[in-house]
Amino acid sequence: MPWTKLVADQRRNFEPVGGGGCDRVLTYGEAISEAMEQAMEIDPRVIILGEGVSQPGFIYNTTRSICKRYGTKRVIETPIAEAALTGVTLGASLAGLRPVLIHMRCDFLLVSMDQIINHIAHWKRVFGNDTPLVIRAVIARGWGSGAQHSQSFHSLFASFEGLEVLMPATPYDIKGLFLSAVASPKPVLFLEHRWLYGDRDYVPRGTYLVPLGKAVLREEGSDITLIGMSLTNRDIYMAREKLKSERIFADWIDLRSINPIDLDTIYSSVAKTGRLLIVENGPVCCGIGAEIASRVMENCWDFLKTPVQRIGWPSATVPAGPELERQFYPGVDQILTTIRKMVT
Amino acid sequence: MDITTAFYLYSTMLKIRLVEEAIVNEYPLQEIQTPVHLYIGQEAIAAGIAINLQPHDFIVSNHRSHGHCLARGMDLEGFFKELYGKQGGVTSGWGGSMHIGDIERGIIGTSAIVAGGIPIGAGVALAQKMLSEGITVIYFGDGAVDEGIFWETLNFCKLNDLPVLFVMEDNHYASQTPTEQRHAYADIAHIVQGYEIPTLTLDGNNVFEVAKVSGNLINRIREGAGPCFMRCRTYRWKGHVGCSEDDDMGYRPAAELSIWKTRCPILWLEKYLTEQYPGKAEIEFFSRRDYWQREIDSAISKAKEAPYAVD
Ligand SMILES: Cc1ncc(C[n+]2csc(CCOP(=O)(O)OP(=O)(O)O)c2C)c(N)n1
Ligand SMILES: [Mg+2]
Repeated sequence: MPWTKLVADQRRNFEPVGGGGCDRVLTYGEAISEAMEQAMEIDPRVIILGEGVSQPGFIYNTTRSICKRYGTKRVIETPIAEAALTGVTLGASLAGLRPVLIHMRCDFLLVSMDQIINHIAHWKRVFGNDTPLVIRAVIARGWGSGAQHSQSFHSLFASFEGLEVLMPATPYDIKGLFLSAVASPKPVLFLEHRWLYGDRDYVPRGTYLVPLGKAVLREEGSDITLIGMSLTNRDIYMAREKLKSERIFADWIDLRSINPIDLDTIYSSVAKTGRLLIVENGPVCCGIGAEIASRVMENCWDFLKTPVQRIGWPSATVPAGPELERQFYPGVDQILTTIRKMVT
Repeated sequence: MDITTAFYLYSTMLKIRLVEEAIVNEYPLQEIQTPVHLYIGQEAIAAGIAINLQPHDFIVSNHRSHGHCLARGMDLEGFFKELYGKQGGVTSGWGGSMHIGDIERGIIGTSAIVAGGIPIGAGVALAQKMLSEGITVIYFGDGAVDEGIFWETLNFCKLNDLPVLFVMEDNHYASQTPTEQRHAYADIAHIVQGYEIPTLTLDGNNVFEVAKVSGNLINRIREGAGPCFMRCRTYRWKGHVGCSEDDDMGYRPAAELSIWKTRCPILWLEKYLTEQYPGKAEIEFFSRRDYWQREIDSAISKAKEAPYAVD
């Protein structure tokens, strides 16, 4: 099987950001594009499906190279029929293909909710068969994208053990996680963020895997644990830099995997710092942060110096107007204020 | 078509065109911060249908809704304030261009999820049938019929004889994907007719044809015939989203846009009216243009002056 060698080569000690003996920089968008191309090269069973995959635009330029190289047989343009296509993806995975279904926006996933949850997420448990499929969806934000074009549904899908949910935040991770997702026998929901597409990082030329289900400790500090996911890692990074001058040092965990949650990494950090702030890329209410907070309370009670705090969207409905948008999204300032309160 | 109606149709189409052109002019200033799906080229459909509607009728629309809403009588100032994200916007700044609505003026709402509005329109019609009166017009594109929910709704409407006019604006593309790559069938009318739903295919750029056909169908619906379906052939001039013509993207054959520009619904009507009413027509064109331009300019400057919508 094409993936076994790669799985065997898996780097056990993942190096957080940059370097790693690699001299080449790619953007997040270029990295996913390369990951798809290499996945198709390694494994002829990999096919790509989606609206607009072969049209100019090429899903934010991420399918251009595969279209050129593999053409319409393996890169399949689809009607606007998300529900059916999700079922098609499941069926194809059961009968020997490794399909990757792409949505331009996370919001369109909801049209296929029944296939994702009633079918994909429960399939392995019920029938015992593997469903090696990946669903890529891009979270957007800003310019009045509003209620139906800027939602982030990671938490909504996080309670199904039969569905892995990933939120890569760096070019290195997006490539390695995508290859892991395609290699995995489990179905993976792969949530990208449009605002990360231009971010740059060192990305090895060859194939490599970033393990599924593992968070990464991006930076170390002893005063507080900060958990970011997807785009909120950026705010955490900026907040953390500012806090250094105030002599507040934070452990910064990039969650990467929303389901399963890498609780061990979180517990060991909280055991050290005694404080936890989760910065959600989505509504606070019933977000993944709520689950993490409960787990930490259940398992790290004796270490906690202050209640776990969460920052995220004030409501699930994203407004469109520019000023409403500015008010809506929390940013570095809110993170700083919260951290200062928690630490002093 | 009588002269008053003809000039009224002209006026409505012109209003829509001038509004969209004003957006094209304003957009580079980056004060309108919302994705716009412009209706230029398709004005005859909204204008032709709107004249057959009565106050208690409703419309439900999609992401490309400016024309539908303006033809139905959406307030220009509320419309522009919404685009600018200002207080007094038709959806108080929460919706932006993709979610305009005004239930008081017969506009239930607009969904930016493809086909998302279609079943909602059926529900409105169910309520109309049970509680009151009136009919519902559901606007959607050739992309929306890709979705199963369209067919589910069609079936339900027929089963329950709901007072719905389905208006498919077939502009040959869904985003950049042409219909041939999305539809296994050549003519949806045959399939819809299989439900025994009265179905007509027409030139969506001919406002008289749209007005006449929709008028007949709407009368039948009012008399209890159940749902009817119109497939309006048309073409959008601008890119799927935004203000450029996006010719450089290369998904449309080179001459396609220029051919369709020669079939401009407004130019066509101007030519007709000039032939029918020489002298008078030119005066009317000028005065309508002048009127709408003033209205639009004033709505835009009020929108710019208004405070931002805040929570
Ligand atoms: C469920 C869903 N899938 C995909 C999209 C992205 N999208 C927005 S508009 C559009 C094309 C719609 O085409 P059509 O219905 O023909 O309307 P037109 O834009 O041509 O007026 C697509 C694919 C969406 N908004 N919702
Ligand atoms: Mg279309």
